[in-house]
Amino acid sequence: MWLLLLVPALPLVASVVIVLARPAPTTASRWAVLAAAGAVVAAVVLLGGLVASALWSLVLTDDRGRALLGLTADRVGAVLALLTVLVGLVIQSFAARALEGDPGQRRFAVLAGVLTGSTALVALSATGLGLAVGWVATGAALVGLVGHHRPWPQAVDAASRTRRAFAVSDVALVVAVLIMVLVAGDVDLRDLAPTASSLSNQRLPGPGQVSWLTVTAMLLVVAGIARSALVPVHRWLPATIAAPTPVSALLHAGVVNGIGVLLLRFSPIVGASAPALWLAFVAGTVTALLATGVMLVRTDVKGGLAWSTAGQMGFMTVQLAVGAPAAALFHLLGHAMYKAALFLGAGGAISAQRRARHLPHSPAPLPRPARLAIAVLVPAASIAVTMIVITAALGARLTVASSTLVVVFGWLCTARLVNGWLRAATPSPSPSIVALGVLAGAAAPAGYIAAVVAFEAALGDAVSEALPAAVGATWLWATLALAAIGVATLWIAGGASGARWRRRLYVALVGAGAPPLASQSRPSGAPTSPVRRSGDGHPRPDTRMPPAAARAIPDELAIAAVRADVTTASQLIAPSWPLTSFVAVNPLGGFAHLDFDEACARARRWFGATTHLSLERYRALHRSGEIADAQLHVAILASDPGLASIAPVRLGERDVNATELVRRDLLAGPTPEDDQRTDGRAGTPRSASVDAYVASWCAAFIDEAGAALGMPDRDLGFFRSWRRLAEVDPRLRRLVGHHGHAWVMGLPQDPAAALQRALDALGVTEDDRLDALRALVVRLPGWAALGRWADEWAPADHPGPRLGVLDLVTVVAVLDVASHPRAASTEPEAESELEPERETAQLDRRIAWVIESTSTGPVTEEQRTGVADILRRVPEPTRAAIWLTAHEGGFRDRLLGLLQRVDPGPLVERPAAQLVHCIDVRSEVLRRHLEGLGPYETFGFAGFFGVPTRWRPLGSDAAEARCPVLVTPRHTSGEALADNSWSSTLPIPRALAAARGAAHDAKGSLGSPFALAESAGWLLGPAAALRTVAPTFMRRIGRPWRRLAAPPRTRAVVGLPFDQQVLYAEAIVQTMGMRRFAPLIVLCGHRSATVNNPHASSLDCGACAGAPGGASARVAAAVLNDPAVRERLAEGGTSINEDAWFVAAEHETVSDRVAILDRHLVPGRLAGALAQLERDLDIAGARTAAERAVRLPGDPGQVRHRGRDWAQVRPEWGLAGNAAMVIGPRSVTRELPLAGRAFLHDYRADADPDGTALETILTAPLIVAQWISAQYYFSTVSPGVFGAGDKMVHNPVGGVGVTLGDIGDLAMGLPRQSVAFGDLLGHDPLRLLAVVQAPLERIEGIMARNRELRDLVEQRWITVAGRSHGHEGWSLRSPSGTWQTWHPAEHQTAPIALEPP
Amino acid sequence: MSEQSEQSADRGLTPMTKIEVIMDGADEAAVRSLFLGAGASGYTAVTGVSGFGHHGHHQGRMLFNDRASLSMLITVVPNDRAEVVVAGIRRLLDERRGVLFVTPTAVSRPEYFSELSTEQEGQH
Repeated sequence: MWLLLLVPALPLVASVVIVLARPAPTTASRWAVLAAAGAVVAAVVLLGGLVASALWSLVLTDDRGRALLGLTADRVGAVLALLTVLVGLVIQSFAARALEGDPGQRRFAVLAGVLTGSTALVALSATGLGLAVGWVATGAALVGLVGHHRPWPQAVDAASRTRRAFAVSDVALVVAVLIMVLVAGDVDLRDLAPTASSLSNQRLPGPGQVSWLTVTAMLLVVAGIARSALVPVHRWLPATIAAPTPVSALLHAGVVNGIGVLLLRFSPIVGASAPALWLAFVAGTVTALLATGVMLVRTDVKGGLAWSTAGQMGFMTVQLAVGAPAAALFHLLGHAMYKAALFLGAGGAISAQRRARHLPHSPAPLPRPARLAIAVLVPAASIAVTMIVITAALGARLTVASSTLVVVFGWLCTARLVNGWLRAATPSPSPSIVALGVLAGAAAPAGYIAAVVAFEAALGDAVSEALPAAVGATWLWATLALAAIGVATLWIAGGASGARWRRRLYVALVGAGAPPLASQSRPSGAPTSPVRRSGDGHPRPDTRMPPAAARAIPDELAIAAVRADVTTASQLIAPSWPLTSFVAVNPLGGFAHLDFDEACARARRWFGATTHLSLERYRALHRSGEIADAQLHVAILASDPGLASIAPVRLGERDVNATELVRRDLLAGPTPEDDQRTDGRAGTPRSASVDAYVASWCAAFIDEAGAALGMPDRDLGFFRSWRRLAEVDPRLRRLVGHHGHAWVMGLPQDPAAALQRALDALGVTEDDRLDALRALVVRLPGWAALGRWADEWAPADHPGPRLGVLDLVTVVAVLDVASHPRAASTEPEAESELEPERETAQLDRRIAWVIESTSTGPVTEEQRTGVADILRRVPEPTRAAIWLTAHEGGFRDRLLGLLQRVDPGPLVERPAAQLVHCIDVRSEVLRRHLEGLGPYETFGFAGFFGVPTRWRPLGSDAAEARCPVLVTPRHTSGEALADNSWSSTLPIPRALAAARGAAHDAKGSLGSPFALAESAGWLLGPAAALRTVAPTFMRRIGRPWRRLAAPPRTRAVVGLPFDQQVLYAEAIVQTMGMRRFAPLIVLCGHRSATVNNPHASSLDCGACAGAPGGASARVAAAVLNDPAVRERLAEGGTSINEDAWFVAAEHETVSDRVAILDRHLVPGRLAGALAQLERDLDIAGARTAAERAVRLPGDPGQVRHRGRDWAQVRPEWGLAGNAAMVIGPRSVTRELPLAGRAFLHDYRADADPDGTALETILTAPLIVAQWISAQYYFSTVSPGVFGAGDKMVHNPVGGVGVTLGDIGDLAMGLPRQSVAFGDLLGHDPLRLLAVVQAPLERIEGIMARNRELRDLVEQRWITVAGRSHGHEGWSLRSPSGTWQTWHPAEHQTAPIALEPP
Repeated sequence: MSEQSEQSADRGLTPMTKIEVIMDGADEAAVRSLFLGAGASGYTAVTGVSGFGHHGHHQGRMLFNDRASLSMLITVVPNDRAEVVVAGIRRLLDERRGVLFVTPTAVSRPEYFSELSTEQEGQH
């Protein structure tokens, strides 16, 4: 009996203990997991006990035997309680890893515990009062959890929406319970019959003679409607996308099922009231239709899931209302598990999109009629047979409602599944796949019906009969028929009006699902800017159509100029690649031609970004010794050499010189008020409504993942297709009014022409136009960045739609005119520079502080002026710039200190093997450890191994670039079966393609998702639970499957013409300066295997366009092993020993394991050497992982398994910490502990007399390294603008990017978790230091010829250190063009190792 | 112009305008879209152009960087479109590095060069 108490009590008690004891957050999570696990055990035992007995109770009763207080469990209660605590366990366990480093981790553990315990209380309470207490507590805990990311506005809004909806629900339930208590005397949930009859016998005073029972039942249904997000109280649920992923999972698997729990537990009361059940039926039907419809148009993962949940809740409510409570419970459980699994795995959408691109897509093997016939008839026949067998032969029975729902929705779902499977399956020779589809079509519905019947039987008749069929079968059929007719009419209706109605429906669904538009009025205090009014200064735009004559040639000229200006304005923002192949770029690339400080100033001004660490952080680095005093001194003088010649100021008893004053100010002077602020565009965006509206259409347009209902006419381009829909868009009418709408409709079709019209209406003159356009570009910087990619970088054959900057800016401008006719801004929204008055006040504070802290006596005006004159030379941004210089100086001194030894030259003996690795910083660690194990020689080279090619995997129809994005590959290489025999494993990708097609089809229609969710949940749920709670176990049982699915033996087929193969082969050998060749030469690419990680490709090879590097290694090895190529190389003077063999390999950077690729191609004579190398690679990998584990927070024992853990938000930190690139022979860096902080590119100046190889290195790999460095820098210092925020609120959109929470702007850069752990930074934000061992004049010559490179150096984006020979000291290249001998700031410093950040 | 037109006509050729732009490889996409947006029906691209001029020496094709070197884009348009193409390019070159050459030319297949890709305005 006491077990009953344990189920709700354990999680609650754990929460109380955590609040009182305040353990470390990770400990708190562990306690919460233990408590939840205990509750699960108790619930399982409880359920087991109920097989024998019908009811368990632990109650305090009054003298009539009615419950006053206590817990009770029948089978329904026990099942619900088990589900609750099981979900609680999974979520707590997930969050224990996923929220590591989150400041709210402990709070989460507490609130999730409260939520779990109180939900269990709702399921198990013996009295209405206890249930109400649990209900209210659940809601309160959920509101707290939804607001996890306060004060983020989306979180605040979501929490307040949830609170309001729950308040309705709480009040309704509490009033209902009070009525029961006051009118009927008690609410004993073990036996509600007396309460029900007492309520029905008493009537409300008044004319209607309504019974108390009706009122109570209606209130209960209302409480359920609000809690389960049914229309009209449904808006809160989509808003909760702003909550962290585990909260969403907890919510969608548990809390949202409120109406089901309530109606089941109060079934004697609700069941006795037909009006209440009718209310539930109507709300459920409307919600199921509306929310499922919205789900079909959503292109974001979490939005789709949230709307799907609302639809599923509607469906479940219908099941309850038509008298199928057991089916409803089956649905509740199945859907809960389904949705929890999908939410937890939401981060996997981008990787799935990436994989899907390479699944075989071929025409259907069957003609459409045959396919449809199979899809429709096979499940139908199967269902008919199953129903007959079950009812007639076995004597089992379902209620009428249950049978109807099972038959209709089971059939719909299976038909869609089979159709999708057959459509995606490839043509012959895969009849097995077709057969499998037919078989599944027959088996699935039979299994599904059998499961429902078995479930109902297990629960017993009491449950099946708990709710009467208040809404009869006739009504149910009528509703279904009506919905079917409606859908069919819409789809079949031809002609313009049919299309128009479909557009209308599409727009309505997008509008219904879009986040609410913010207040349209300009927020007071928001920055406004000088506006040029058109003509007479009349504030309204001239929205009349100009006469035709006015739109002749002059207009066209203006339009061409506008087009050009959009291009120029878009340079403000760096391009952003889709996450499927996320390439690192310098986020300030648009300003790369400017001095770094100036570029930072512009980034602050235009984007509201922070560009440096806060002063407090720099000071902490100084206190910890990371920044030495001497460095600070050097940096101060470097910033303003004039300070040295200023006469000291006499303060108190002594003269204080200028550098000392500045130093004091830097070390302890007052910080600006916003020093610690999170960055982001300041204030409220000027037109939040317009931006939100445009973002919702961007998301609809860009979809590459394939929403079930896609945006029509996308081939017209964004502006045109949007405008066609805008005609019927009521949301647009709300946004811009009737007048504005008419104006939009009168615009030209061409986006540039429309933009020109909008700019005219805003009164923008030609002189202002560029800045006005820039202000438009930064309104939605994430979408604009993707637009720049589409305009300038997207490959010609990119399959997805293109949303260019011109189209984007046009829509924003047009809506600005239509909604805010008053103002064209030529200023950015963000104005984070201190305003002049604030800056003056801040300077005064600093002056006062410096004087006060230095002098005790009275201060003369002269002294004050002296101090002020000095500090005025160091304005606020310069303080941070000095700190950055000092920070970099420390690193530079340590690195050059390490490298200052005389180059010892290469190893003497011929190495057993040579390994060529990518320049990636992660390679350095592995190379160092491997070299320590034997006579191995390693090289660093760009990870595409110098062969620019596209790559088509086996069985795929798509090819993608596998080289730096700076190069456009002109040829395609691919994968072919190694031996021409048919491979038995090839059907697996085909089956995967078919399965994906099946799931896509089944999710993507109005009727099929219901049966899918309730049946798939029983498979997905347990798998998700095991993945979370026992990841190691899941890894083990996954092994045989992975072996089964292992790719067949293949080989790389080189697609480049022979002459180019020779050219590139020569370039590889010469650029690295390879002079001798070992018998075994391994070309080792790299990849990072992570799951549930939208930014997975950011950890892959940057030199392979954000893809794994193995393919490039295979192609390069195939080229270099080709005897014909070698022959031509030898003719050119580069001879490769005959016994040398190139082997491709891939370094997986989470596990640090190296896999040999194409092993079957390696000659037998090398087997021994290869085996030895693999053993050494294993050891080196283990040591590499151990070295990395020190830096990575969390369990060091798990460091190699983190990639497979779907709850792990920091699978690796390998790239974090990058700070330098060393270009020179490996002997310069060999054996030195570089801590994985340096890109290493091999180069031998003597093998490159004309400097061609060095020019290649400095113009390509160095640029790529600088982009990575800059991306890490700005993601660290500016997480809100150039970083992608918190992973836990990432919402993958359209298969191309993520938004934070609900659809809005796309996030740019790297997630916070990639560069930080709580307050601890995982990356040192430093500008790249390039260390080059080559003749200095050669470096100069290359810089003189290459402007981009010269800009990087002379505008201080990178620092270059060089030395002509290995026995010389290092010199630093100054921005002004001179080389100065390097001396460490502190001569006494003897650097030992580079510390990881 | 007129003299040349007459000569062209005599030879059975149609007078048109040739527009050549030499710009940073990174700006190639922008110039292409300006050509097409202004009604050019096509263009010819020469990448990895080297030379010497206002900004000093320019390196030719880089082995692994197609964007750092200069590119040349050439298009030919009917004379009445030339002004529009030039207007856009000039405006772009106000802000970006590059040079523009406009020369009268004559073509043998005028239909190749006179497809207008811009739509008429004001229709929906």
